[in-house]
Amino acid sequence: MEERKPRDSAVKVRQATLLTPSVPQLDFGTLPSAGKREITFSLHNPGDRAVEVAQVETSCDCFRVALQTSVVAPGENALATAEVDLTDDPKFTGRLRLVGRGLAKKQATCGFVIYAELKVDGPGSAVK
Amino acid sequence: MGPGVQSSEQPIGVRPLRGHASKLATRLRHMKSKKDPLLISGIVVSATLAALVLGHALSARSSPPLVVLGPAVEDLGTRLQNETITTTFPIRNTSSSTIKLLETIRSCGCTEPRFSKLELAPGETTQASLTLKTGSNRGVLVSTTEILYAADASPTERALVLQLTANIVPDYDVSPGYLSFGPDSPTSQTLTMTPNLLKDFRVTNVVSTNRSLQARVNSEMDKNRYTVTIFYHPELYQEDDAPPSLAVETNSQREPKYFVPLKIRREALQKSVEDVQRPPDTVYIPKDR
Repeated sequence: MEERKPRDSAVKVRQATLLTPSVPQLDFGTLPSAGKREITFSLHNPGDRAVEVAQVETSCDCFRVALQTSVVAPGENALATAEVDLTDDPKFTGRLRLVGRGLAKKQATCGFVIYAELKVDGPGSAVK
Repeated sequence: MGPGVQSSEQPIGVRPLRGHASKLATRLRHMKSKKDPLLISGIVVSATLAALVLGHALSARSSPPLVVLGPAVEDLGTRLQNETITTTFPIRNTSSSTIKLLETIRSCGCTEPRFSKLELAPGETTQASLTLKTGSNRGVLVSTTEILYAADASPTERALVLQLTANIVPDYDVSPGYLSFGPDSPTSQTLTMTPNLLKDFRVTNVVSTNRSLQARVNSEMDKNRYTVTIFYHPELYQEDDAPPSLAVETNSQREPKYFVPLKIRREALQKSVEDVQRPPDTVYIPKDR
């Protein structure tokens, strides 16, 4: 089969954030159906003000990002855990590109953005 | 900008010649001055060919081979939880090659894409249908689906992006969004649940899968809310128990169970258990000594 060249994502858009993730994208690899996996990463505060993450929104119910501490002091790092849990959707197969956005308290700029990619193998994972 | 002030900006699409193109123009002027007709015609032909190739490349960039006939973003408006909504996007192959739809990448497992055809002949239109299950989502939901495709003649994958947006009104609201237990966080934390769409919202039960997690429900009718206080007891953790999870059962038909998003740091939990059993300032002395 002819090898296809990879292409840049049309969706991923970098934006200015207060905290910088240790990796721009988390690679969850291939999960089995109804699988669950967790990756730990860190968030760095390069600024001179403490950042309080009030809330984390994700693009999917199956994706959760939790911070070990909600306030990151200037120059400090905070550990965060990203978890993909597909146990509620055991029939899901295919590729996911998930986004988590941390909303900073009392600040207009977004706290952080983290992307995650994974594939769930199973029957019918190709386009239908 | 006042009169007489000259702008250094170029109008869009008209840019100064740079690099090779600039050198070519200089050379052409130089050759013209030498009046070498064969060389000049050769350069003119090359330049015309280069311009054609560049023009083709630019037109290919400006109009992708697979397009949506209409908007690529559909706002589904205000929706309820546990709804299923299907939206159809007509997509057309505008290229002169057959296009194969290869794969989709979704931002949410809640959206299921389906296509009436997976190969589109030149000029052919097909329907891409996206089925969104709102499930237990709450608030603004943005679901993006990238359709990866390739033309027969091209080895490069391209993507067409479709997006569904909706504002999901939940039966009840919950705050905070998740609870995190560890050595540096309190061992009891409170969830507040308030009615939203479901006015006679009630909490009926709380189910824990691990004895290290216990809960107490308070009905605060004067404030029209329920508070669920969750107690974390690392010393009661048993390896035989299921991993800690907690579900609040409610009278909602659309979201009968609320699975409390919990983060318990396992390494912290084990450390805490050790701390409880053998405090660091305690020295163990066997009885026979």
